[in-house]
Amino acid sequence: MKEPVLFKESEFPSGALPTVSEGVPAFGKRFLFVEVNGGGSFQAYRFHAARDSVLEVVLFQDVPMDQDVFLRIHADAESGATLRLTLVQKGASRGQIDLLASATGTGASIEVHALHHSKESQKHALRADVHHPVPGTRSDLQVWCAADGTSRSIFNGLIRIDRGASKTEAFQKNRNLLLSDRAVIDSFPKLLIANDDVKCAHGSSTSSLDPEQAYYLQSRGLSHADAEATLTRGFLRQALESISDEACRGTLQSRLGVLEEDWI
Amino acid sequence: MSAPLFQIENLHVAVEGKKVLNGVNLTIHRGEVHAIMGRNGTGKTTLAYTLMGHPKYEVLQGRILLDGEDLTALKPEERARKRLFLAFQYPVAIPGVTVASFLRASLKAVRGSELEPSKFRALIKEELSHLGISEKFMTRALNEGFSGGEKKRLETLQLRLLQPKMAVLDETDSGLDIDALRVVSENLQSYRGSGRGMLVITHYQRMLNYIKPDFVHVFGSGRILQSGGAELALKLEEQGYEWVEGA
Repeated sequence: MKEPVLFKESEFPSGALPTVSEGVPAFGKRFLFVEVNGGGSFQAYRFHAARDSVLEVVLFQDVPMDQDVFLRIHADAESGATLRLTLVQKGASRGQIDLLASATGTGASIEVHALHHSKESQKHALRADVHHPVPGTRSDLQVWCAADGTSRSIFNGLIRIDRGASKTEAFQKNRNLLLSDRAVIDSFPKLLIANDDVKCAHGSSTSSLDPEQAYYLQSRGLSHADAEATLTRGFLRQALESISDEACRGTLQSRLGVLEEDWI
Repeated sequence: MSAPLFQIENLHVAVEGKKVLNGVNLTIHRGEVHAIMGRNGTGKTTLAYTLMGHPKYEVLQGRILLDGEDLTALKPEERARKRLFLAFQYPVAIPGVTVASFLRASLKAVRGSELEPSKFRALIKEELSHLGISEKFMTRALNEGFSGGEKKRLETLQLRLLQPKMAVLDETDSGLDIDALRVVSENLQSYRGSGRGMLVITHYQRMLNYIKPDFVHVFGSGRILQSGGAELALKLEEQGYEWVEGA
């Protein structure tokens, strides 16, 4: 099956893309919020977590609905470092993120949580390539796609484990929610493993809203429409739960229309 | 005698084309607790789901009335707003939706108005303390990763919060250890009141030690086979269901 793409090679500008580089030094800890709401159709970012550091990046794509945006992200974690990426696509007519992530040192960990909230005729894509070139690294790629209207959402995920990368632990999970009969979601979770001594899992599920969940909410007085809206909000919120910075998480929940009142 | 609170009249129900209920008749007056007991697969949960309007359950014949009003054609949310409540045997998990936000939305939908946040919190805290539930519960996703006991405590909390006129408890005692059974049962028993009715669906006598039923009905082949007082539950516990089904 031919895998769909949103941006063809012929559309790319010639030469290297202007790149924003951010990172954290060895043993450091940093949280970074990147909002993409303009700045050109083709952009590149580089995120680097040096040895034994923790770098958390939340990237929120919310460009106007009549514009296209392509984001290329290079990310790497050195030995003992933890790199957490949350990639949220809400805006753009065509929005694509190409992620190339690499756990370059033993003990490195890469966690990626991504969310597409695609409405009307929007098209969102994530191409993720998570590379394990050395022994004893870990990755966890979790992707949520919710597609409404006539939108299209594409997930193309690859975990690559090199021959010498024993004791790698790599996980990939794609959960898709179809909110309309006319929306389309494509899912391509893939593993490329060249070593036997690894622990890997990948999976993909696509469904509409669960009628049993809707019935439960209706039995508690919520209308069918409110029940569906509640379930959709719940689905979207899951992708944001791993964001450690409460203020940032609240901002994103608010921008996506899934903010819940605090209990306290 | 006053007018009945809840009536099931000659209820025939099919699920995905298969007939499951075959003429259920039951009348419950205010203040009464009725128990339905029966083997697995006799249609008890189908009855519970049908009473709460599950769209998969097709009423072929008969009526369900609350305070004389016919609920049979109403949607689940409309029945809930009429103050009918079903405590589920297996409450579903809803990831990403916190217990607090769910309870707030449910309370608003059933009452028709929103409580002030401070009053809502006070109300919830009081109920949590009755049920021995930590306040941390409120920020967890609804039923996600909950133990059997936690789920049933939350179902009980919802019942007490939503204040139904008529409550249907579908095997609320299943999945409970002895302590949880006592806490849940005592809270249900304390909800019992002169203006309310309760239908307890169970396999066992143990819950009925706490919630003494006024009437016990034996269910089989999609209908009530025999009715009696609380002593019927004890007889079933001792002798099983065969003597009823063979009668």
